[in-house]
Amino acid sequence: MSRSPVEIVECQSRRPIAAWLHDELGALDLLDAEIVWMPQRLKAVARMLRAGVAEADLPQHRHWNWWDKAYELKMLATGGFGIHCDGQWQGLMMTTTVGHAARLKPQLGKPLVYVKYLESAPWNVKAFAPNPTYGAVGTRLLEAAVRLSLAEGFAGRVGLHALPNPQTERFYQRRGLIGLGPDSDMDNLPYYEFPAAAAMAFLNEGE
Amino acid sequence: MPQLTMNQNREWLLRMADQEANCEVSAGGLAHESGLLNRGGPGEAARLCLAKFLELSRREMRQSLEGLAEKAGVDLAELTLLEHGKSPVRNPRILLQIASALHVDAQPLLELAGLLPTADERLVSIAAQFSARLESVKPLEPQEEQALGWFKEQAFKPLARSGRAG
Repeated sequence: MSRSPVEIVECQSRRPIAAWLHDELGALDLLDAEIVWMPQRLKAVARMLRAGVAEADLPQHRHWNWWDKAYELKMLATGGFGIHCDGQWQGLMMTTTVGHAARLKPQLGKPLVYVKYLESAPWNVKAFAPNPTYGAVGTRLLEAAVRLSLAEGFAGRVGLHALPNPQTERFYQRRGLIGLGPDSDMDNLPYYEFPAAAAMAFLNEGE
Repeated sequence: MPQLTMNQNREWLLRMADQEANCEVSAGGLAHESGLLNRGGPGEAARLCLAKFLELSRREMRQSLEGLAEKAGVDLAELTLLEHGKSPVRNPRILLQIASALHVDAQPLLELAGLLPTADERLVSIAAQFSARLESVKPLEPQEEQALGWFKEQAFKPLARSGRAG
């Protein structure tokens, strides 16, 4: 595993703060993060239920039980990135560079980095924490996916299936990814793709 | 993998953090692969039950796949995939036409396919019992017995040698 310095944002002070971007994480790192993240989500959900939030309005992640899937997850050939700060994983991303091809017309059939999993720690997500701790974690992981795509010679092309809620889709739209609508082969999850030009514009904006 | 050099521009970073604040970052590919998104619906077991029901009903009517596809006015490939449980039903019209051709009520079929909410809670348990009743208990054919014996001998021998078996 190697790591690169990266800054994220401390939300309360709105100041950049030093963190590490780790690569070559495995599925077991995801499970390590879950040991810490799951209780935080459960506490947040309990708080919301006590406050009268309807079950349908609770964040989607609460249903996921990665533990049941630990063995299968271990078997998946997946590469991963994680942002570490303050002694904790602040966000994780699992990617693959095989088995997926671009679907947008100008780059149809060309290889891309497919993001299989992307999540910020619950204390960084407004749905779980009214005052999130760190910001821009998702943006940094998306940046890592684009940089991985460049390193692989994929010109910045990135594809993923978002979870179907307006807040998630808004994030990808704001970053310049193009939505291709629900994918019937993937539980109707909406598919998004970063065209090479838009991915480069996203990177260049922050140069 | 080479070390990644990340953007250094702090104004950009703060702008990105502001934009991300009201968003929820996620990707669901892994959750799909792990079957974590199939909660709530009738799921895989109901789909297999539907597939088996279609196959047995067709054979009961002494219809070939081609015959039933023609009678129901549905695509043969779609019917084949349905009968093998390989394809989730996305268009209720297909099931309505098949139900009509089989002279059965379409409602339970649509529920098993996850296209309608389950009106009768017993349906899930009835589907499981149906599948269980179809499990064969008849003795193995000599060819099956021979093949199983060969597989056990070939596949489990290395485990026994390394002391991992039993």
